[in-house]
Amino acid sequence: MIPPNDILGRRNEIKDCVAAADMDKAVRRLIDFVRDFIEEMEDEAVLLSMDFYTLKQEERMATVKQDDLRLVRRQIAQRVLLTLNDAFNKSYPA
Amino acid sequence: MTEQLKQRVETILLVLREHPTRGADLLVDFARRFSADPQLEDQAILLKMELSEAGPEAQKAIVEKLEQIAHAVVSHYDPQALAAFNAKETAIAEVLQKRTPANDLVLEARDLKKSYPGSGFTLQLEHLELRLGQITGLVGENATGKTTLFRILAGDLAQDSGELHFPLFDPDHRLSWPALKGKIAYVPQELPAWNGSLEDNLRFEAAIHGIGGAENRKAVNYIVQRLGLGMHLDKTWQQLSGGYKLRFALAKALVWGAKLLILDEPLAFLDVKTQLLVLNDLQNLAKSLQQPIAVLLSSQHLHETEAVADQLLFMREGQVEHLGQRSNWGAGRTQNIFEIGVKLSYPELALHLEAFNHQKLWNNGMNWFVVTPLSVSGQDLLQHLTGRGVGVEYFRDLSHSVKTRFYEDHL
Repeated sequence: MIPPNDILGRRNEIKDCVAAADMDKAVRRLIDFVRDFIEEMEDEAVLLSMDFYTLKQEERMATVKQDDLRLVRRQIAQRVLLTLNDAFNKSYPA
Repeated sequence: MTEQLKQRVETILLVLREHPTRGADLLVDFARRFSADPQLEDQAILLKMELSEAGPEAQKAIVEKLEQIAHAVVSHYDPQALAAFNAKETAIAEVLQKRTPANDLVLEARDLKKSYPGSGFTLQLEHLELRLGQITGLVGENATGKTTLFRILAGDLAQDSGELHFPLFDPDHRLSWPALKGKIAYVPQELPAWNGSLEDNLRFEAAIHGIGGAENRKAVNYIVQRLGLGMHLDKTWQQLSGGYKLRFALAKALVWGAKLLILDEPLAFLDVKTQLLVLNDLQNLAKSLQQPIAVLLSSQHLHETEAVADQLLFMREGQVEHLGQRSNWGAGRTQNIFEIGVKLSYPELALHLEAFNHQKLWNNGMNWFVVTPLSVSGQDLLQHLTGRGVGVEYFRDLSHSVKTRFYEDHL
């Protein structure tokens, strides 16, 4: 397990999850990441997770076309990476 | 250096054409290490993600884009800019690394005793400490007193003698037992059914622990999303699978910010994949920098429990026979023990091991157990067997495992 105070290791772990298309784990670990390092971004991470699970629900119910699903999935992955980079840069104590 | 980078890129491009996924992995690592622009790495990551669901034509287009990123890393390579970028990242990491995870003492139990005169069973525990950020695994045969111990620690059952202290919640020993009990999150093996909506249950649980208004909504949203329960909120308890019942029970235990979590056989009704998911979640939540938790769990899934536990307790017939750090388990042993799966009878396996330095050999009905002197390693055993053409279907080194306790009568 990556030590909890290893911010670089934890950031890379989330990026690797996105690369492996393991978005379930990526959003959960992102929530942990912001909670530990930049708590004010927790709401953003939780909202991102809600959007991801809405997407999963739509996929399960087959209410959205595959192309649209792929597009939204990419957008969510992009948001994970942006939020992660933003959180990392803001985590440096003033 | 740029020549070396170009050679490296040539290798990556070669792999990309032959094995796009593997090549994309190499490219992500390459961009991570040699680009001062994190966007290049992130672009590679997104493209790699898309590879997994792309058809052959789309894959070709993605590989072309990955190739462009590879060339961009080399053409934009600037050693000074990279050094400055790495220095900034390292500075951030070093400051945050100084934040040591909390390990406050949450529960201390001393000389606990509980007897059942009718059956002659007595539970005895000399000393136990549970700390924030630590997972303690309790293992033992059935009917050995695990649930009795958990019920005592969680306040559901009174001990006959002994002391329980909760230094984090009650340093001055002022709280009443009902008040203390309200601070312990206990998830029993048999989960009671929930009435009403799942979300209402979570909101209520947070509310009775003093979390109201907007904070209540926030706490529930957090734990629902953190445990991946959002898609199931509109179900009833009866509609949930066993795995999701356990996860909702965990959510109920954690929604109000519990610092002590006791779980009785949480893995009992879970499939293999969900077991790993739950243990992974427990490990990450327990070791949070901001909100660490002390976790005590019992399980018959020894391998999985050992993988996450920091501390292990082994109980037999009401007695704690061993309590220690997981990393020290087996430290004082005098022999090694290996579990192997081979399709051989006893005479056949014994013949293969005739010239091999071993002390004992027995079968538990499924696999074989080989005991050797400390000087003989698992690699020695594997090489010996495979060298003789034996097909080894399963191999595990139990020398550092609590599983050896279950076979002490053979040792």
